[in-house]
Amino acid sequence: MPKFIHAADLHLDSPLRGLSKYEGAPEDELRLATREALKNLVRLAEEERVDFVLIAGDVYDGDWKDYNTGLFFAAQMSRLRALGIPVVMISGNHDAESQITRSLTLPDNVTRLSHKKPETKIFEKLGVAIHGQSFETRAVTDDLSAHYPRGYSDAFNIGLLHTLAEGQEGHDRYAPCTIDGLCKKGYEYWALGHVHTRAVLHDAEPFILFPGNIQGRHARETEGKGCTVVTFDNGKILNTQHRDLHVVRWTVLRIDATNAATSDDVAALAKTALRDVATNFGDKLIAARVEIFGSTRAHSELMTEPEQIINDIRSSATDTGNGQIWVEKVKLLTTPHRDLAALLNDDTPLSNMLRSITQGDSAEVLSADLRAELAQLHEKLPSELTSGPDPMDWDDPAQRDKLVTDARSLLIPRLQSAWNGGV
Amino acid sequence: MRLKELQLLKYGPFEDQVLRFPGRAPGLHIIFGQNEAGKSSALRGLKALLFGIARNTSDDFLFGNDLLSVGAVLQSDDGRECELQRWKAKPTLRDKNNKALTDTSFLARCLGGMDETSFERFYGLDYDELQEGSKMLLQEKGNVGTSIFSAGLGALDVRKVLTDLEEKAGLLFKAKAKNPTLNKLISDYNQKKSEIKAASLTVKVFQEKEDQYREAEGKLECLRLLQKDLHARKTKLERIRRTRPMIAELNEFELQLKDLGDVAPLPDGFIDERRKLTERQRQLHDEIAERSRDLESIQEDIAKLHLPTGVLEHAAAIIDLQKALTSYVDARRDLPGLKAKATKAREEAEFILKILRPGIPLSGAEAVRLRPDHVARIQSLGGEEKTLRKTHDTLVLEVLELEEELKQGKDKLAQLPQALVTERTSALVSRIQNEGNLERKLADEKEQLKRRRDEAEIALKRLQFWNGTLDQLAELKVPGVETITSFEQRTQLKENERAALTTQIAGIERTLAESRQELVRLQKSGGDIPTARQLAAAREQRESAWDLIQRAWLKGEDIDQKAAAILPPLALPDAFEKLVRDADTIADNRFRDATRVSQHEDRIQRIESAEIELGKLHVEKREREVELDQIRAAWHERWKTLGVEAGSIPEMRNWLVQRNDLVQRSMDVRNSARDCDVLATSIQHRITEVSSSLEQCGAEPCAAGSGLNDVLNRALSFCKKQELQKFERKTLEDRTEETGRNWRRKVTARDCAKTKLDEWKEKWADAVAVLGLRPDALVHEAEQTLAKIRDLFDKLDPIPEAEKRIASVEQAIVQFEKQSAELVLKIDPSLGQFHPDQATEALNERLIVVRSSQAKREQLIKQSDESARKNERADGEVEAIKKRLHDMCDTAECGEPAELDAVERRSELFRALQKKIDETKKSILNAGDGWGLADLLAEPSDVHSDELDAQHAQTHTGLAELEAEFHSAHEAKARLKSERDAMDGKANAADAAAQAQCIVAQIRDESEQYVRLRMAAELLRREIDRYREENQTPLLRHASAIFAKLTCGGYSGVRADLDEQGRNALMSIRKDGRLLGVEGMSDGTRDQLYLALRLAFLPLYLEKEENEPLPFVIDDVLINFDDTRCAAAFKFLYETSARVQVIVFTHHKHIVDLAKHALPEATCQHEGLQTLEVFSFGSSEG
Repeated sequence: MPKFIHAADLHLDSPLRGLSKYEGAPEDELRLATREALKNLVRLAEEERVDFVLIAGDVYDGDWKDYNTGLFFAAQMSRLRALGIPVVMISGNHDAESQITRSLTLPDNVTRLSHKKPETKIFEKLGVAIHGQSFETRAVTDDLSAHYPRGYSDAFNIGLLHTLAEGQEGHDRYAPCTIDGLCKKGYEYWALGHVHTRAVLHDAEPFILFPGNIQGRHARETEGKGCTVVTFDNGKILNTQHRDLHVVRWTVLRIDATNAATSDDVAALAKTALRDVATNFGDKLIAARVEIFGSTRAHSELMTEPEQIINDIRSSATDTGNGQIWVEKVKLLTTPHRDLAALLNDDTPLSNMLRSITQGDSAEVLSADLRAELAQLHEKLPSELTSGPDPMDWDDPAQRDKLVTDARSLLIPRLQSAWNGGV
Repeated sequence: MRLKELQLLKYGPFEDQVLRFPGRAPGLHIIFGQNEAGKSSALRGLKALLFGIARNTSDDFLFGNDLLSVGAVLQSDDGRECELQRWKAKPTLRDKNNKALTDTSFLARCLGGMDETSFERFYGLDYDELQEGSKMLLQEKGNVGTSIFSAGLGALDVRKVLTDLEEKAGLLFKAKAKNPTLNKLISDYNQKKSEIKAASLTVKVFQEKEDQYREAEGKLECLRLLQKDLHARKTKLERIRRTRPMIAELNEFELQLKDLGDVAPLPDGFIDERRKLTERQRQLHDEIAERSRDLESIQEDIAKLHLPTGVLEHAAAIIDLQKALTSYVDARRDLPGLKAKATKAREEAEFILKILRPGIPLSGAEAVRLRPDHVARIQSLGGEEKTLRKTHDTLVLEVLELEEELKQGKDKLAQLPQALVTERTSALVSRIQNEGNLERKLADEKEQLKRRRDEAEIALKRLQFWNGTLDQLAELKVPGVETITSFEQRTQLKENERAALTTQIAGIERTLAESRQELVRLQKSGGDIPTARQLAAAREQRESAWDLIQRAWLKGEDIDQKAAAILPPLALPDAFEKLVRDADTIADNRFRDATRVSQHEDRIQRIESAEIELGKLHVEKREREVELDQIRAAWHERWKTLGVEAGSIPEMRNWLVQRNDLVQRSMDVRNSARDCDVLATSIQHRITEVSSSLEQCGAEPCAAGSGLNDVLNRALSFCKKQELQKFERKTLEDRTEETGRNWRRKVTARDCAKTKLDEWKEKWADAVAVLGLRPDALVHEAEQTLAKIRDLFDKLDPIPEAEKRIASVEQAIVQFEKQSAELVLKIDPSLGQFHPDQATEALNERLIVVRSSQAKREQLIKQSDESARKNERADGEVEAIKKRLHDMCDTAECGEPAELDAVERRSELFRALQKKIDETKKSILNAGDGWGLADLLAEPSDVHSDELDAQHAQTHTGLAELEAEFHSAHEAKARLKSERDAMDGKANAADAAAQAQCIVAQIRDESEQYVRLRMAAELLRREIDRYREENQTPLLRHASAIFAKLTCGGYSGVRADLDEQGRNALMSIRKDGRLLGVEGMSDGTRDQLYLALRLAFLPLYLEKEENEPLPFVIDDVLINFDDTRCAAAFKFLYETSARVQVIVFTHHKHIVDLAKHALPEATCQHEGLQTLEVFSFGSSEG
């Protein structure tokens, strides 16, 4: 029975973000994860003996200029050529922006559909017609699918489209389309790209599906990433199956520290969680974000010596994960234990002082002097930290509030300690 | 709240001690006690009462957790009283009757939510805090914010928190540094960015390289074609050079062939075949002749052989007879022996039968034969007899022996005494022994104690500046390291200043001397120098004279008297003239020696100013010396209060180290003594235990005054003896019981054996009856009878078989002789004269000879047949050859085989030429690079022979040039290819980007932490500012008033003002109104300033109505105050004690005396107290 792979959003050589380096982190294994994921795709195509491969846009990262990335992609396509597997692809918004797309010559098994108007690629022996149109520019705001031809009556019709389909969020709103509009085209399968999370928008006649990207690149792109293998026969889809291609799986471990009394207790909880995740997904590398939350007695200790818990958790990851786990970040989201809350309600001089510290607008803390001092750092920071999707901006009220809250959490235990330890 | 009584029930060293704090007002109370009097325990007891006894308290050395307790009578501000107790054991709060305190609201209200830490911070002040607070003031340079904040929160070290935050932030980032974490990370990031850029491949670069490669490829292809053409030309020329001689040769051969004319070549192999056939024909003729001769000779041999009849006809019979001959000879030899043996057996059987049953003939012998079962039964019974009889006899003996042994055992047991019970004693001894040799341990401990004590005493004697005891030394509240360092620094500072002044003085004195010398030199060098003063004097004199002259002339005054006083003794005009001249002369001289004059005046001025400076410096130096003396005096005073005549600061530092060592030794001695006591008590206790245990066992009591080891040894030997007795008795009992058991077992066995023997006897009688023996016949007899019967039948039984054999042998002899006679008769009757065996041998020999002749004849016939057959075959072959030769003549078109030779020679020549032509053509083709023969034969005509070499050389050169060009083009292409191939999609840039992202992530984390730290510091500063703003004015007002009182008016107060750096700082106001920063204050004054700040909170606190004050506890804070300020402090505390109870702990008697002197109405409590005294100054309320 005929079979094809539907993949999208390769974002080749786009680096994994947010991973701080530390002793024992599996740095070497993670660096070129997107390339390795593409190699996995080629291997899968060979194992499954698929009849063709579809790529629904965003092979490259838009602002990445190294032509080597294009050459690598071409080399992988050549491997598919040697296996006799044709590839049909369209350019997505990132590809349209990329200089590589325009100048790279791909092997003759690859068909890139036109960006001028919808184009159809026909595989006569299989009776398959693939309709699609590439992005001409980065920001395509029209519904490209509106101009796609109606499905051929004597063929198995597939629509290849890079789009933010209705109901999807979190991505740029390019080539928007409606599910209803796609259904009316008379196709059997819509191979979509652009949205990085796998999503089935319509599960029969036609199948409409985002396969997600092939490798998660930061802590918001969690769980297994890969492509969809589609089997069909006599114009009907028999099976669609997600297959992992990722090299590293991103995951978020939430540790409830409510019952922990010390930093060591929290470290023990984290170790258990890391062991579980290593057991469940131990065959691949794991990039884990650890979020510690809850109203806990350990709060003061965590806040006074955050390096301690971070190092403990990283060390646990190295031990239990057998070098397979990279702790991306340890987020300390704990809140003070009710003992402290009660203390803040007391009428003792210490309570009065601590209460006074916890009160007041965060904007006031950012005095002109402090602002000027922090600006010295801000102007030296890499531009990608001060601009981009998640910029560091201490004037942003939400960020400032969080930082001031953290600063209070950091200060109060020190004052308590000075108070109890005496001078 | 006030404390009316503090009951030290069982706490620290105290038992049932009650400190009373009488008076109507809360009052000021001084608790005085020498070192080791338990002052600190009392202070801890007070806190324990209010807030509970600490889990890990150090006051439980006398009373355990279940007894540790303090009590108090408390009075609230509204006059209500409550008596309660605090225990360590639960319930911790109890009423005065030692029952759980159900209503704790009184205490809770008194404490007003104050916890122990808050209490210590607000209502407690000790010497250390005062020192730290004073130090903080100095370090913060009187910063108003931190000073007020810190003092206001009971010496909270806010500065340390701030410093810590700032240091941590500084480790992360500094604007102009390289090493902090973030600076490094940012630098690393920029480095990675550069790496990405360097490793990135642009589209343009790639395309350019691709184009260059294609171009090089095209050029190389072009060169390849050119090279190909030239190569072909060169090849052709070389080919022509190779083929030309071969073509000439070919032409020659073809000419020779033509000359030979028409020749029909004979087929391949014709000549060979014809030669072989002729040779074979000759060979066959020779063979046939040879074989014909052999045949004739064979026929003659056959005719010579003779074969007689008869022997061969009876050959089978002769062979059979010969085979039977051996048996025949044997039978004739054995027959007499067989007959004799049979006769002997019969005779022996008859003899045995006669012995067994006389009267019975041999034919009736069967009656004697026994059935096999009878024989078996008799043999079996016979075998049993011996065993049964032996078993029975042995058992009878054993029974008798055991009876004797049993009797002896019982007798011995009856004589042994009973042992005593010793288990408890034994366990006790072993437990004590496990504890080790306690007496030796005690001796060691005592020895150690003595040694420690002696060493401590010696060390004490060696200690300078001290005449007191070791314990007093230990209790001594010696100055802290900070105090000494402070003294040292101050002394050092002053000494440095003095030294600097001395140096300055020396320098100035040097300058002065130099200036004076120069002055002398100037004066010597050109005579006197008219000074400005001289000139002024001359002019003044001149003016005075002129004035006199005017007065005389114009006013007619009498001036003689005055002139005589002022003018030279000349006439007035002359005198005036002289004066005018003198002044002019001086002026002229000064003008003339202007340089010298100015140098001279300069030196004089220098000397004057140096003298003034010198005077000032000497004054300053004296001031420093006075200050130094003051510091030294303070130093000695500081020590004197401790009863120590102090030495220099380094000496005292060393002294302190020695003192600390001594204190440690003193503690060691005390601990050692305590250990000895405990051990001695423990040993005595164990002696009593063991002695009483021994008595309980029934042993003799121990002698009074016995040591532990003696008692233990006695107990051990007693226990051992009892154990031995017990063991002996048990062994004997066991042995006797075992013997009894054995005896019973043997008796049963003996009876059983007897029964079995009787049963056997019955069976035996029955069995031997068959043998014809009596019932009591011995086994031996039965056995002999059985053997005889066996012998009889051993003889009798083989006889019939032997007789049968004799008959058969005799018959075989007769048979053989008969057959032999018959055969002899048939073959040769003449042999009848011989014995049958000899006749048989002769016949056999004849048969052998005849058979040999017959075999030889058959072989000769066979040979003759074979030769005849071979000749027949050879004749056929000769005919076939002839026929073939005739056929060959037909082929060669000749009449007779003899002509064939000539025909064959022509054919061979033709063939040889043909072959050479073919070979030459082949060589031409081989050398012709694959071209066709026609082309090759035609080719030489293209090139003239003489031009061939020239053309070849030209082509060769052209090719070499092209080769070089091709090589360089090839290299260029390879280089470009490798450059292009290097652009293979490598991941260096992507790798660097990934690493850059790692750094970005770190930068984000660390930046956020940096911001948090900075914000935390900011929050704390804001809080300090807020606190200052809120409290500064009222607090400084109170502190100012207190400070003025504490300094006895030396300072009129304290206020916040800008210091030299423009910071808001605490400044004290001197009596004359001048401001002085904390750095300028003496240590004592700064202590008083801190005390003032600290105490200023009490009035503030009391201003709030809802607050009920707790007792204010001061622990030896005033020891560094001079007597006047100490008295002033007491006066202030006394004033305060109208509302707040003040409790002062001290071990300085003179402090108490000062208070008694400064304050009215002291009452003193001695009674009921062993080590402490309470002085109360309490009725100032009235």
